[in-house]
Amino acid sequence: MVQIIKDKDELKTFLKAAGCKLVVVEFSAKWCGPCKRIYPLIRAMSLQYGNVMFANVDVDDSKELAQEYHINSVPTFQMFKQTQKVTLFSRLKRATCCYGNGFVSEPIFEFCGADAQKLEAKIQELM
Amino acid sequence: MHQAALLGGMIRDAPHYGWDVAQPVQHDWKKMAEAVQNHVKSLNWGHRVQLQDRKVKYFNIKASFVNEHTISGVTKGGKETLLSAEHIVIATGGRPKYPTHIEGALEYGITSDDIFWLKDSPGKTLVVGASYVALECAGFLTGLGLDTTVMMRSIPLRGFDQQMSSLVTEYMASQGTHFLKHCIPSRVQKLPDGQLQVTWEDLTSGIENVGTFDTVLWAIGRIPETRSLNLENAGINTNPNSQKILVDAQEATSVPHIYAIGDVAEGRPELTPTAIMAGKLLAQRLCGQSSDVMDYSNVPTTIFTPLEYGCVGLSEEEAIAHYGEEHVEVYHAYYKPLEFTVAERDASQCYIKMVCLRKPPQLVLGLHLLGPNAGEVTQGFALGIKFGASYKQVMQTVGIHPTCAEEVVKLRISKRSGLDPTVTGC
Repeated sequence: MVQIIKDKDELKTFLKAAGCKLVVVEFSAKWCGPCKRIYPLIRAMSLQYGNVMFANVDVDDSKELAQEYHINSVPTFQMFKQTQKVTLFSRLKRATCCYGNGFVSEPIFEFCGADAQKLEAKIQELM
Repeated sequence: MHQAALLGGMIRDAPHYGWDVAQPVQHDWKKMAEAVQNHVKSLNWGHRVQLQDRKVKYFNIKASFVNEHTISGVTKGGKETLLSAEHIVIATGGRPKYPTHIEGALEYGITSDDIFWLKDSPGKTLVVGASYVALECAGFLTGLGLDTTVMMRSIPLRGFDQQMSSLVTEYMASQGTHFLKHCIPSRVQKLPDGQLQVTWEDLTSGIENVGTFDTVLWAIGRIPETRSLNLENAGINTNPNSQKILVDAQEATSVPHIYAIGDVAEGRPELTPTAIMAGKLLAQRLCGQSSDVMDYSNVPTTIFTPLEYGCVGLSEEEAIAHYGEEHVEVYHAYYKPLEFTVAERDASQCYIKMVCLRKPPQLVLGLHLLGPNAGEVTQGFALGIKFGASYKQVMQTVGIHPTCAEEVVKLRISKRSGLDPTVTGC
């Protein structure tokens, strides 16, 4: 399922709860055609990839959050993970235990555009 | 919506070119309206993003003057903020006017602000007014297949070249728009079935008439929203008739550090691009980057009626009033756009005229063009006219074939000659 996130606090809570899992946050808008088209594909992915957390932020309903993450086009996908950079070391860390203090509020990856294939490929790479 | 209507026409033309398109084709207002509304919302968002990118602080509040240096802003929730600045620019624009003296006008009528946000089709519509807003709206409503009537008190498109304005309404009439000329509405009532009953006076006969419509659209003019600004608190002067703010060539109001641009300012063309350019130049002046002021002459514009009317410079009447008929030469031509030929469309109103000085090299004072894509065509010629193109220079420009625009550089017949201005041949 795709969690709707309204503000910074909700995002913080969501990222914390994700632990070491990959988090995919989609910034979308009700007036955006491509966002509407990709939505069912995102929902399907959220059901398919059980160890990936999916969330959605509406840029009009959550203006401050969209501004904070410098969203200037929709849809924009930002991915978060506890480790800052996905390196060999962090992969080892992940394999052994859920390491790390707190959570990361900076995305490790971002891309814009309703390209479901590109999104899925990146999820598989980072998860 | 003008584009949606034009597409309807093209679908009707298509079989002539061999396309197997079943006629008649239905139009889904809901689907079009949603697409238009989504686009507008995306534009609004884009503007906010641009403001953020340029580190412009955006306050979503209703402002009014406390004194010449202080603005009071109130949020939707009622919270008040006080702001002060070295320079203040007022660009609050205008809003459609409601004829509040007409019974039922406010309760039952809508304006152009509303037409683009209607979720359901407006149905059989009465458009009251003869402005470009009235004609553009009536034009696309007719094009979408709706029963549309325009009620005008006197002349169409006041302020525009009247010969061109008549051709615009003639074309609309040929396409099915009904015109009630020299009529003024007296009241609007709601009927039990939800329809609107409009009563009007026919000024020619003095007779009162009644009609039934689903929608009444008021397009009788626009007024600036200056009353709620409390301009008196800052000592800003306005024109008591138009309620617009009085400004000088620097866009300054009666208070030196307060400026006004766009539709809210007195004496300016009510056009978005001019307001934008005036704003840019003002910003450059305030930052000391330049001393250029806005040139409001030779501003091109286009009316997006079913047959578009593009113009730049003076109308024929203005030129004659200013220079005298003996000093003005008008070249003109009726032409047939290529796209009208195979589709067997009536091109009777496709017409171009160029108003020039009679004295060589014959400076071009104004260009008027009625035809498809008039906006695209006029934009290019506006460059030449703004920088003093002469009829001689226009004639030295080679035309692009086959286009409608090439007819401008081939204008040879003058009104004075009395010769038939119909373009013949390839």
